[in-house]
Amino acid sequence: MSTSNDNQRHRDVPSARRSYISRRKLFVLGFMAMCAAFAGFVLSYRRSTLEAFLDTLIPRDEFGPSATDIGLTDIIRQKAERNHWRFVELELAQVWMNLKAGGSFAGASEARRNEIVSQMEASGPDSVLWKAYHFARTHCMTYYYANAERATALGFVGPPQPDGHEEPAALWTGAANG
Amino acid sequence: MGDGRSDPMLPEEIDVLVIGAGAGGAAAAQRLASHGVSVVLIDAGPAFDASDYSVDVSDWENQGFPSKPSSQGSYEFGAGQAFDPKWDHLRKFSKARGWTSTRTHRVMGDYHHVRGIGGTTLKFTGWAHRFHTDSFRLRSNTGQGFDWPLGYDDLEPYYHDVEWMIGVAGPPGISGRPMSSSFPTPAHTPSRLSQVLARGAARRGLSWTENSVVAPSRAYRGRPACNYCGCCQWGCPRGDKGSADVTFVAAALETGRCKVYPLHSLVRLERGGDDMISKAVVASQDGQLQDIKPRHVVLAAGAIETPRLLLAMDGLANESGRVGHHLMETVWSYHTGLHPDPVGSHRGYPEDTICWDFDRPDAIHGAAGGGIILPLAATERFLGPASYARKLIKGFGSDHKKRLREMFGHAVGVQVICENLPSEGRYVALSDTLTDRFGMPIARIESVLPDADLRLLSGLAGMALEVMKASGVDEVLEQASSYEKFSSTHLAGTCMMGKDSETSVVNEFGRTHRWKNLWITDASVLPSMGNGVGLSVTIQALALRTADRLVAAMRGDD
Repeated sequence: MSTSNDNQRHRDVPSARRSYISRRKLFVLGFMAMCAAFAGFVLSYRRSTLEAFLDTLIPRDEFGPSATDIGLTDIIRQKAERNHWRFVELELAQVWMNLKAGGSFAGASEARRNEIVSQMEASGPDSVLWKAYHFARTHCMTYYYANAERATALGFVGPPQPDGHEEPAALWTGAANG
Repeated sequence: MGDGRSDPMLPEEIDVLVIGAGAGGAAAAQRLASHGVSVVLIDAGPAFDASDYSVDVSDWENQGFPSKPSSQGSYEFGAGQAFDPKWDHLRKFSKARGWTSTRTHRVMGDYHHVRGIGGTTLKFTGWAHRFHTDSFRLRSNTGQGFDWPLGYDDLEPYYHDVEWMIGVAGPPGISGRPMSSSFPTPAHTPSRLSQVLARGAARRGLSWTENSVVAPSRAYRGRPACNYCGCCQWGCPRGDKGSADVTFVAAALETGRCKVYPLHSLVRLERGGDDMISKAVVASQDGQLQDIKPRHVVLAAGAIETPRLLLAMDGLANESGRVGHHLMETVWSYHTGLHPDPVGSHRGYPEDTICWDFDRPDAIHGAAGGGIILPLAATERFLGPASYARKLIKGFGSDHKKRLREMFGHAVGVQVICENLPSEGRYVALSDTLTDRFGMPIARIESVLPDADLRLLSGLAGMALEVMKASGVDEVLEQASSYEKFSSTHLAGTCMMGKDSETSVVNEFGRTHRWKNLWITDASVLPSMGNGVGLSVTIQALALRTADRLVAAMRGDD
């Protein structure tokens, strides 16, 4: 660490000025590093909340991968960032989810997460929670299932073309006869 | 598709300039060219081809009909009407979302159209309907609406020509529509969904029969038979659907006498002496203006753009003051639920069957005009798992996944479309504030659904719900209607045909009452909506009739 005398001396020696960092600069850099660390923590915290939320909507199970397994987190976030109100609703909902979970929604048990998301679903169309729930649900379901591989598991073989859906013609017995 | 052009510039002198390459303009161009007339067909929108459509990609369900530069026109809406509690049963709800509309006013939402070569036929499902013989005498039969200045018999030969041009698939005959010959290809075998609804209808004493549609059931004139992907509204990459681009436009080009110019807009028609249009000013996509001098002009820009253009050109052809009035819209509702048994709702031709029992002007007590009931699948996109997951299966988590696996393919939906009588509260006008890139005001769409319309819709929706219930669907999970939101596919009536030049814009041949070489061949000339049936075949039949008359006029025979 330099002293005030050091600083005085360095002012007289321009070439040395570049070799040392002033206390003020060090303080600023330290503060910025702390801010960055805190921002990183907050971002990581927010991301883990969102990921836990999306994986509660579409979990990994015997029926297939989870929402985050197929990279939906960034898609949902980008969707939200395109609409100011959706973004704010989603952020507020995540704060609420963490509070309900006692600090960390991501750290809560699966049963507790399901309980919290069920409360969002039941909160009523005028609430921020309901809007955030349906925003995330709609886009998750759309991107998750509008994919031929996952649709195949449902008996839907690939996209509709080029093969179409030929159907056996034998069942129709005539107009109004059923 | 080749566009028949050898020069990017339009020819300066031609026989006929056709403005708008949708159902009516394409049909008129083909017929005119087949008579040996030189035709230039322009459209403000682009050309589409198979590579534009996304029905064969992994995320096809996230796609829809493609958007290309200039493929949508600009328009604005007036205010939506306030809701009346007596029609609350027509409001929108979704049980999967736990949501019932609490809006206080009708949403003025969408005018579903495509600008481009083929127009909205590019994205329609493709009902190929003739109007009922009684639909031409709506006022005589009901005391409301308007009679046509021509009858079914006048149009029948043209219906035949249209059906054989586009390769309609349909049953041997349809009640109330005498046919001089059968449809060119047999009806599609109804899907399992349709069979389930047919059984329900039979239990209610209603008939439910094969629909007539524009996709052939057998290979037809170089086009393959439909392979039932269900994605007509995404655009047909195979070209089996008989949209105007692969039928009339292709046939017009084959004559060698028609040149097609996408991305060219009409800017002005200039009035000459002797009640003739002397010149048209057309702009290319880069804004370059060009004068051309057609002997005749056929305006076919649709029920919104045609009156908009006329009004913007200082009220051209508006001597009666009726341009833009008599707007008729799609009055519809749909209702969807889940059947306990799989019905393969994603398979088969969408809307391949129909109930014609209410296709008469006295179908519903206390309401004028009738309607039709059809299956619903493609319209609300129950063709893949994403729409099921979002709209029909409630909840989330593993239970949701499990339920989706169990219920995929079980969706049963019905839709109702009915007659729409002209109303003074529904019209097209010019925007007070917004203009297009040429400085012309864009259209403003005003719409109010009066009680008469809602009485008819309510009655028919009740019938549709009975069919659904009798088909085995106990609970309606989702419902929407045009009462909640203006969301129109069929618009008509804004340059209505009639015998009286004081109350109509064109005569029975589509010729404007004053301007001898200005004709209109699109949905704007229709005096009624035919009880909600598909309009394209009637628009095209009228266009052929107009073209024949125009050629006669050129030859001095009229």
